[in-house]
Amino acid sequence: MDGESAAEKKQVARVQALFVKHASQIRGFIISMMPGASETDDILQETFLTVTAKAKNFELGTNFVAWAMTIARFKVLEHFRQGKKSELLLGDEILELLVEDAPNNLADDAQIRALKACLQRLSPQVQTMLGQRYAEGWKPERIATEAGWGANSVYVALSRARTALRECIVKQVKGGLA
Amino acid sequence: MTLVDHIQSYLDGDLVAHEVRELESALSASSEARRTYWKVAQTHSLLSLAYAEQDGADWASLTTSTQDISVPGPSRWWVSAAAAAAALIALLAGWWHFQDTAASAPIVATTQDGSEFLNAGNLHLDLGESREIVFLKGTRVALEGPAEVELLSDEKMRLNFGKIGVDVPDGAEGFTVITPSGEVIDYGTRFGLSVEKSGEMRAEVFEGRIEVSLGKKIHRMEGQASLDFSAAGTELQQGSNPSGYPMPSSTLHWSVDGNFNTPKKHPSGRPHSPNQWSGDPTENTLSTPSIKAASGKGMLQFLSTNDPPSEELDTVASQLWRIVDLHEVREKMGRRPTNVTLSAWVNRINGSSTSDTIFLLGLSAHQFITDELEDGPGVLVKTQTAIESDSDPITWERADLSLQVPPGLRYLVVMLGANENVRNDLHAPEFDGHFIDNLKMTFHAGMRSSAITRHWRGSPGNWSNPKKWSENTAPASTSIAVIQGAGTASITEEIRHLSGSLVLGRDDASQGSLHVKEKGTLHLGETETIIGFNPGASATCQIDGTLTTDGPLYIGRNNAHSLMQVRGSLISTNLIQLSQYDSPTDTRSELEILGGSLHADSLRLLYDQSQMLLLSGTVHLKSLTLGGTTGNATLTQRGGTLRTEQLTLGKGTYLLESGQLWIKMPPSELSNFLPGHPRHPKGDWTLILPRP
Repeated sequence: MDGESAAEKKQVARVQALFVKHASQIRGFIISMMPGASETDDILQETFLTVTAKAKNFELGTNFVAWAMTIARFKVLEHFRQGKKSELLLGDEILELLVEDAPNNLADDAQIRALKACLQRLSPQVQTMLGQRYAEGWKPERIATEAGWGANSVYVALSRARTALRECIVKQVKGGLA
Repeated sequence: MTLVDHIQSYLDGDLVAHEVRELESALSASSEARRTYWKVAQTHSLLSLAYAEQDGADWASLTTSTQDISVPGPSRWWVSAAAAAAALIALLAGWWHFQDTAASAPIVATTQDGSEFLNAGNLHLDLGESREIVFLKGTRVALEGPAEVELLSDEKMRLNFGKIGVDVPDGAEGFTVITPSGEVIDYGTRFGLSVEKSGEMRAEVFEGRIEVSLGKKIHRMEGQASLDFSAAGTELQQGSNPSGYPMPSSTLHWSVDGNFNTPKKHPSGRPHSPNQWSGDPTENTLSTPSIKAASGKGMLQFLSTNDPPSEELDTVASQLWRIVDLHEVREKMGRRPTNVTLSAWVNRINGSSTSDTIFLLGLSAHQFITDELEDGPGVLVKTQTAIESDSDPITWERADLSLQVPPGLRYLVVMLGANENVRNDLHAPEFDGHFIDNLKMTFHAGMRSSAITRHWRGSPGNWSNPKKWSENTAPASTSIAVIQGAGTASITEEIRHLSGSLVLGRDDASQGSLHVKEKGTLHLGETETIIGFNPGASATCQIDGTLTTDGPLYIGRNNAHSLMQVRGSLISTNLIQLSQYDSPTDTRSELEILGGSLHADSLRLLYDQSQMLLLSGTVHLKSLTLGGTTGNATLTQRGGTLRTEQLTLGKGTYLLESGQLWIKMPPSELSNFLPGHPRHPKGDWTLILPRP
């Protein structure tokens, strides 16, 4: 039996559209909360399902990202409890505190554009390492073996690259490239 | 691990449970920490997003492809929302329309604090300029001008001329410096390299191993060695001198056995020898059901303030000490002012309203160690902090402490304590569950410039004649100029010695004499000048021309006899002090104004041997300190004018026999000074005259 009214269907479609529009923000938010990013897709999927199920609770015109983030936080907690890895996750109270302080432009278009511009300014070798780290999910030890570097140097290089990117993104976004 | 590293490791999934708890404590304690969290997390998530959307494709194309439109990865959820997917694709496509047109050279290094990138390319430093750069692979290079370098990659640079100090960490071996005459390859070490414009080159290794290729020859240098390359040939020698090169900043994590993992009781009494914990009753214990160690399986527990408890012996804290011998640290840190930081985590059981709550962390720097440790003589500087612990045994509270210690320091003493701040129970248990864990010590020293000592050859001659100095080179602006020997060094033109220091009569029983002649001028910078240094040395400085200084000028340190005579002009924007330290009574530190003028920010005569004579001319001071708490310094005025804005009078004597004395204080504040002398208020000033 299909009990959904046309208005409800419309509301669900709107909320889903909002989710898709802010998907990168929400995904970034999930990545920002949990240790390791390998299960991000699952959690994003679960968040999407819950957002869809609770679509009627969302008041159009209010802050969608903030609402979705609260749901995403619970999904992260749930996920780690199921996997019995909850001791590796920051406590719920801390996550709640963090959510309050979350930047509202965490992973918006301007930030991602800035990141890409900034990546081009890194040396090819460091770009390769970032790719191995973030696209392939390699640990620094493996990157080190591949590059013939010491693991510590890889740590240092990645850490410096991130610092450099952080500074660069701030400048780019402030500089009006967004 | 810094907070940034800690957060990054968390996001990378590299932290174990107790480290996650540490991070929780830090994040719950400060909103600043939470802001840092988001800064790190933002970059992390942006990178994850940017690379994740390259799913299946070659990620290397991320920064090179600007044409392709990528679709996000295996995202099951949007299949069920097909309509919205189109919007998503359109949105993501927008990312790729952005094109960075300013394709600049790759970034290969950053500034010392990581706040600025350095692209591959040229760097030019003028005389007196210095800076530190950090290659992305971790190598630190201190550069000193005049210098011309080219950054080639994250592990290679060219030095056309100039002077560098290099620190290559483990894992960055292979760092290469190309010079006009060859190549220096590093195998994990610290070394210095200087290249003259003429092509002459000198390499010195301070620690580890380097290889210097000159033409077809490869020289391997290990330990402490130096190599000179010039038209005359190549010369290898034993020994090296790090102070001749700029030295990059350095950070050293030092083990203080601070994990308390092995269960044991610590010996009682204050420690007498380095590298062991000792003190009041304390022990290493394993995690308990209610309190888990902050790191590893053990932690330090404070048991009582003393053993056995008694009225007489009771103290207000249970303390544990450790002497840290810095023998190895000071070589690694290069004998420069160093900042020591200590961090520890504290925790206690919930207890009751009578449970004590305060923990102590102390750090003291010692020239030598006595039984009283941080309360004894031999302490140079010390600091202590008290941390209030909360009543939640799940969370650990972090305590931090830092102390700036002098170069070449031999000992540090670390003190850990639990304080009886609520009730001093005389009977056990005094502490019902008080713990410290995960104690860490870090040393950090900033970059320092090179200092070359140039010695005066000893016979009379002119400062600017290079042949009068060691290595036939007049002191460069940054050198330490040491003048000693029977012959006077004379200055007849303008000499700028702005970044180096000047010492007359340095060695025991030496003589040193400098004469700034009528047409000569000597400009000194912010570093110190000492006229007479070691015990027994005699030093004389005559100024008929001009001497200016922005640094402190000590007429005598703790030597036999120092004399400065001014007939020209002496201008200081800093301190002039007659005798830097109190010395035996048969020594003398004298300043004579025989004409001309003296301008100084402050002039201090503190000890018996500090004597000043004003015969004629003018003296302008912001402040004059006459006499310390014990010594009886004397200022005798037989003519001329002395003006000072402030007067601090200790046990010194002012003999006003002739001339005028002006003090910018009302007569009422000067009633005890020079009794019987006529005094006249003149605006803000009081004029004091000799007795009629």
